[in-house]
Amino acid sequence: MDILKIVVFGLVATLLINLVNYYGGNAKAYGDLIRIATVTIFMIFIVTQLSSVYQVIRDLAVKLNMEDTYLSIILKVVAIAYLAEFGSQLCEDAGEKAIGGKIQWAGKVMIFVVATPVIVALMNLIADLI
Amino acid sequence: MFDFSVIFKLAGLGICVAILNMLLDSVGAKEWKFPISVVGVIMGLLLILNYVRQLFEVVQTFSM
Repeated sequence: MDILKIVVFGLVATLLINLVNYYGGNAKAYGDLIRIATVTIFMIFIVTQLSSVYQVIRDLAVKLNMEDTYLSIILKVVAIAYLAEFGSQLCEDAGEKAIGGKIQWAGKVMIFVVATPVIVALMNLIADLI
Repeated sequence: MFDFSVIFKLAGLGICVAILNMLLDSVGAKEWKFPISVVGVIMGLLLILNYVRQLFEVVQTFSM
């Protein structure tokens, strides 16, 4: 029952963050450190679960001898999206909305850069059709 | 996978630094408050470093 561990872990971390922030006086930075550690551990758990799913998808793609370039682009885009969201939410929680917004924006731009071959291929396809 | 020890260590570190700052106030050595909290934060970051590295490793394998 992993979900139980996840919930308990999140609750304990939240309580600890509140404890440190309340009694911290001027040691408030440790609340952020605990938040970063907790979110990182959650992300590790989630991404390991996901990577097993993606192995299945990749095997399927190989079996259907589908072209591999687009699949790896999709995976890269998903990875960028996860990390960008991870970073931007952490920054916003720590009180830095501007930095969080910039990380989010940078993630979008990088996804666009990674996805350009797909867009070019799409344009060529459309041009051939017309 | 879910080791609770990290967050307890960090919380303990935070409380210890807070107590130390209070002690330094009462003793009157105010100039030592800053170095101690910097060292405390660095220790916390070192604790977290392994997890962030592990996260990036997993994401690397994920997007290969």
